[in-house]
Amino acid sequence: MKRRAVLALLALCLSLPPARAAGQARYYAGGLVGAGRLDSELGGPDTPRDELTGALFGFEGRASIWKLEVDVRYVTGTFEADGSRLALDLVEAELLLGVRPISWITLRVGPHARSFTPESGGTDRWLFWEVRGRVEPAVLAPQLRTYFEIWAAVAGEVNFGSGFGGGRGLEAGLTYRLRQAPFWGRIGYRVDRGSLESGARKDSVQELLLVVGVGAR
Amino acid sequence: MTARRGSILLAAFLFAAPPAHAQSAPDVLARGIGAYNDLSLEDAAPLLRRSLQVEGGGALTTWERVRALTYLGATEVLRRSADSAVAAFQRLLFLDPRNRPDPLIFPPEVTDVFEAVLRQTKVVVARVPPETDLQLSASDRFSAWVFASSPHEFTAEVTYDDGRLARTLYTGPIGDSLGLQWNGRDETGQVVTSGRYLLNMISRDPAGRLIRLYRVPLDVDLRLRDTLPHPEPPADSVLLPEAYTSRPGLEALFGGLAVGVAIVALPAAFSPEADLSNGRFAIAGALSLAGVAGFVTRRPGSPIGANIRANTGRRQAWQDALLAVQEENAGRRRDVRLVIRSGPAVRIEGTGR
Repeated sequence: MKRRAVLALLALCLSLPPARAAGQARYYAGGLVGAGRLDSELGGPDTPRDELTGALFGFEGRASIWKLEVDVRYVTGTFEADGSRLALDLVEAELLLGVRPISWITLRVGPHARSFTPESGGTDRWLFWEVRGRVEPAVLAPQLRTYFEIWAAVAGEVNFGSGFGGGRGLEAGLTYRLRQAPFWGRIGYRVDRGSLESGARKDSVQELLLVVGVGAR
Repeated sequence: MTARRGSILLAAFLFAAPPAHAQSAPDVLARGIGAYNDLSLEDAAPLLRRSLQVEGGGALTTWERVRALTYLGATEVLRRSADSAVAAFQRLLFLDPRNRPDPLIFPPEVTDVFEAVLRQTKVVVARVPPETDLQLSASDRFSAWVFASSPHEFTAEVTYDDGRLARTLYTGPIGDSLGLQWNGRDETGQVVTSGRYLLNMISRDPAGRLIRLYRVPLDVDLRLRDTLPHPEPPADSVLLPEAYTSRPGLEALFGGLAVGVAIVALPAAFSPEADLSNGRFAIAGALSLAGVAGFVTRRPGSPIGANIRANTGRRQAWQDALLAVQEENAGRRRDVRLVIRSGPAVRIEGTGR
């Protein structure tokens, strides 16, 4: 049923008139820095929740033509817990196919993978198949837009624990695009949660992001 | 059978051959002049008259007719036929008012009679071009030359086909000749319309009575260039709004505030067990401030500079296009042409002398 609903939504979006001139391909790419925070029961369901923080680095990019978009995102960072020896590496990657039925709404679907690699070894991997909705209303001028994106995982996999339970998240922020030059910047806040089927582990990753890029958004 | 066919061919040849006495008008004229020179006046008069009566392809040219009438008038003078002499010389003057009998050829009694007729006969003849193409912007003129037999009062005018006056070209005495010019305009200075007009050349006696009217029909064809239509001013649907309505400001305000509130409130619902970052408040504050700033800058009635500039550009482009069309049309209106074709002249006799 979920797959049918997604397909029906995609068909509806593609039937709407294009938001931009047909055939005009656009690209952008940007570098990302940020501060991340991980909340998780890494030690097991009976242990206190671990809170780790660290710096994030990565990139994101988009190619769009007609009303279709392809987004990629890659983020990595090392998280540490205050006052403890617990540390791990985070790697996240997304590949999303989007459709923009009107200029300020985008619907996207695609895989989102995340892995935690503690210093002690072993890697916990999450794979989310997500459906996302994003709105970008202008606030000050066409150059300055807010954005708000919300998503949910319709399927997923994990390589540990009792099996994939669910995933959801949101991101919001502000994008500024220079009027005369193809440069843009973005600040945002993001929270992303994944849970096992048993409820034994719930990972929440929060990110405060600063992205600077080049290209036509 | 052969003899009969030969007879028929001979008969056909004989009937088809021209009669021996048939001669062309110039030949008859030459014989008449020869008879005059031989003083065979009784033979000369009918020959000269016969040469003048030929019409069609074998008729005399104007120059030959002048010669014929001159010799005919001289013959009648010498024959003491005064009325016939006067009639011949009058016809001569009607044909060419400038012609005079050569005193080296004709005796004084002939030239004296001619001079008497000349003084009595007030007639003009005009030389009018068969077609004139006037470009009025270049101040072109329709020109005609009028030749008079002797000085007299003269009026030249252009009238409509129904006789109403269009333009008086000249009024006053005429001596030997006179040049007429018409700029294609009526008495009010307006260019005449297409149609049939009459160039009337009127000879009057000192009392102002009409002696003779020499009339040349003129077919006037007024040729105007079509003007271009004016470009339409930019429609309201094309122009962008130049002042904000309430909607953009409210959208900015509520868009910024709603996303700011969402970023504060929703993470707790998405991840209830997590210790949420306070950094989201900074992002929420930035969003809310941007929304408020958007509302202030887009408050209802405030001008939209970019749209005003775009509309100004569109209006200026329309003004430029309008000016270009007006200049082009002004040039086209100035480019008025009149094509005037003249027809065969007629002479109408009046009551004056």
